[in-house]
Amino acid sequence: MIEIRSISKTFSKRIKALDNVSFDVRNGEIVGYVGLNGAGKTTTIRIAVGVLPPDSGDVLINGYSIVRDKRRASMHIGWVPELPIFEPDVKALDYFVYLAGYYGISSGEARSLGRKLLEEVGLGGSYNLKLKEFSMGMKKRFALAVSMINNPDNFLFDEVLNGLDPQGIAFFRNLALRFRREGCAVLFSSHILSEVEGIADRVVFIHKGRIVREMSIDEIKSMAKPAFKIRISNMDERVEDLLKDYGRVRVEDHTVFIEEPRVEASKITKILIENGYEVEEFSRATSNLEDVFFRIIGERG
Amino acid sequence: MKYTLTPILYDFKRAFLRLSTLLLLVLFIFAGVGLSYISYNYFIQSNPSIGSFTLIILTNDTAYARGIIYDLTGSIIDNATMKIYRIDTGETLFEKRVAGNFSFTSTSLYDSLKEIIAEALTPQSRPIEDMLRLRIESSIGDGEIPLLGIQVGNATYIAFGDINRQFFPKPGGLTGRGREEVMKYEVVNAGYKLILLSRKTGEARLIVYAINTTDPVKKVHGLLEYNTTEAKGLPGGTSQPIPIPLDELSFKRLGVINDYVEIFSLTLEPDKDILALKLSPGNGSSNFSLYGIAMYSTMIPVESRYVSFIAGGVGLSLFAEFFPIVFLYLAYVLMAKPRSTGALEFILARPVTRWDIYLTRYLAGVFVALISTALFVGAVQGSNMALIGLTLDAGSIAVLYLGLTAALIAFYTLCYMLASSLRSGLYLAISILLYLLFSMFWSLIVLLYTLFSGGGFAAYNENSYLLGYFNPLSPISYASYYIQLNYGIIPEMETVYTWAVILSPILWITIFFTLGYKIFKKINLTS
Ligand SMILES: Nc1ncnc2c1ncn2[C@@H]1O[C@H](COP(=O)(O)OP(=O)(O)OP(=O)(O)O)[C@@H](O)[C@H]1O
Ligand SMILES: [Mg+2]
Repeated sequence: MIEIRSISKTFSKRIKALDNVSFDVRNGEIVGYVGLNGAGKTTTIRIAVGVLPPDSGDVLINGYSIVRDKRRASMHIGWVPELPIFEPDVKALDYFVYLAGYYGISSGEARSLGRKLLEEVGLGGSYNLKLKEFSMGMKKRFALAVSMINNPDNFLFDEVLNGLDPQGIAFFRNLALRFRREGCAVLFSSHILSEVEGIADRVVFIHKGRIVREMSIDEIKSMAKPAFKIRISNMDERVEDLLKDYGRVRVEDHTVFIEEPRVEASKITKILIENGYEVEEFSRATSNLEDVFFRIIGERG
Repeated sequence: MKYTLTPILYDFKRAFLRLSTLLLLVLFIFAGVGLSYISYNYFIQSNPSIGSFTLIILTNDTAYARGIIYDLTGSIIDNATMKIYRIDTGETLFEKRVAGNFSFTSTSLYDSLKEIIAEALTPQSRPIEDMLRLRIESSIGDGEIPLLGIQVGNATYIAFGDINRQFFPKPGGLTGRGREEVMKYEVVNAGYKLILLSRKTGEARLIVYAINTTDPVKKVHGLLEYNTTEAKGLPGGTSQPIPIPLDELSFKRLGVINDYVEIFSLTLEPDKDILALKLSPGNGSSNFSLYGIAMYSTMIPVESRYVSFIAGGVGLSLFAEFFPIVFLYLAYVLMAKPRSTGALEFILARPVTRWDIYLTRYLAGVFVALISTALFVGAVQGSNMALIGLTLDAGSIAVLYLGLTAALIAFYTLCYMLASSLRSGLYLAISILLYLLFSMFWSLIVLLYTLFSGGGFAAYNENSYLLGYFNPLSPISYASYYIQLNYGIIPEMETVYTWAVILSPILWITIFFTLGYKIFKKINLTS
């Protein structure tokens, strides 16, 4: 359970990176954290894992305050940073063992755990590679393995899909679903809504340091329902009246748009033809989550 | 408790037990040994480390040699190689491996000495003192021993020795008695060398030789007595017989003389000035006694010479100049570098707080300072014991240790504060600059201060102790000061206030430690 409580953070006097941000990630729930570049996602996550002190507010991890009781809270956190940075000259497995030591795991135990987890994230052949020799995706995978050292029940993934290959993305998806099954709280950030759609149960939207909306994935899907685009040669004003019960209607010249339609396409065509309209073209505008995203954050559309 | 101490101890352990720190510790030991060796070399350049008294009696076509070899504390050494050689040609006449206390006979030595004596008796020859010399080579050093005396005739002997004083008949007696009686004194050629070990304790060694000049084969038997007295109104430091009321002194027994050379240990009263000696014949007739005096209050004890090398010389200044670099580097690897690359942030996501990381890595450096200085001081003491046979007293060792650690910790704290707040490039630039300021250019600053404050060069020393309170490395100088003061090597300085000496490193350490944390607590670890 991750409870983010009114955190604010100002970096320099001009930039207010976070302004009173609050939301929860409950156990057994995957929450997407979506916002544009610079919206404050990384800042929120760094504060939540305790590597950055907030100016005000607090984050509770399983009820332990990250500000006042960090040692305890950190025991329950797995974190994959946006840009993972490690000691460059250390071998992967050695570094894993080193980090595991902080959780009181003996080096022998950590070595076998490290082999298992690195294997699991697809780094099986790279135990003895130095971390500076890792690619971006390998670093993410390594950080993913590290986040599981302490077998935590709260995960915070910052742009984790960014830099992963399709295989990696599929792997992460399955992993996140497994964590959910096991009752973990998973927060993962992205600046692309469609990336979140397939995995998350809920999405928190952040814009310019403020939480603008929290929505379930179903709500978002409904907002992103396809629109019909119908071109009619003998267009007149009655069309809008005629179709208004079947969706949100908008007319432009010879084209009528029906957003969030409540009936099937065939039904609409039937009504139009019955009323003597000549339908020249009927198309389904492709569903665009990003339009929804921008609509939600109020930037455009 | 899995939650609390494990990660902190772990971070400390990993910070401390890294290859670089372990290498540092080894480096410190080597430095300690090396430093002692350097000091020792300086030391023996001005303090010959080996002395000897060697008597060679030429009789019945054989040379009979009897002698001792001692170090600069007057202790007999284990063994050495003795070489008798000609100064003019460099030719070695005789060479033999001997014990520190030796006697042997040799016919080849007899032959070569006879030959050179014959040569020396020709009118064109230079004096034999300029022709013959004894050289001792040993593991603790070499010694060049000059010719001390020679007698040619039916009782021929040659003596080598670094013994500079001769027993003399009572001054009054010399004028008051007849010539025959004076001759009686001359049957004994006797001398002594006083080695003052410590001024504080008055520990000293006395090396005494005695040769029966009429028949050197016969050993002199006698009683040696001594006393100490004050040098009231006496001209200091002279080796000439001076009017000491020898008659009025009551002598105490020091020991008996039964051999050509004897070593006695004695304790001189630290508040007196002069050692008076009385050598009486074995028959107890004090009428024929010989006397000796030595002004010891003006002698520089072996210990002080040694201490001033260890505490005031090259040794410590080398330490002060180089070891801070080690701690500058340590603050870099423990803090500046991981913080600057961002790797520290990933570690901070473990169950540790910023305070834990700040404290444990600081303590790891402090721990290195404590241990490495202990190893260093131990190595210095150990190798000095082996090389010279002397060590500082326990109090001085403690002061030395405290001074060195205080300086290193104070400098480390300063570096650590910089490392916690600056990016690594800037950290290196600024800390190296400060290092240069505090170690290399500091004397220049003191000099400038002295010139501008109008004190003249006389005030330089005072000012250097005064400004030292503003230099984190100065506890080394203060330790050196107190040690030398303790051994009476340097006078007391008005500008050294004990409270300030103690307070200054405490302030350096607490201020920079606190300031460093104030910055580190808030700092963003990814920029
Ligand atoms: N270390 C920093 N120093 C100064 N400003 C910062 C720092 N880190 C972030 N910011 C500012 O805080 C704001 C939020 O940044 P943050 O990295 O949280 O955005 P984000 O949502 O993660 O963006 P992205 O999608 O690009 O990762 C930005 O305006 C950024 O300029
Ligand atoms: Mg980000």
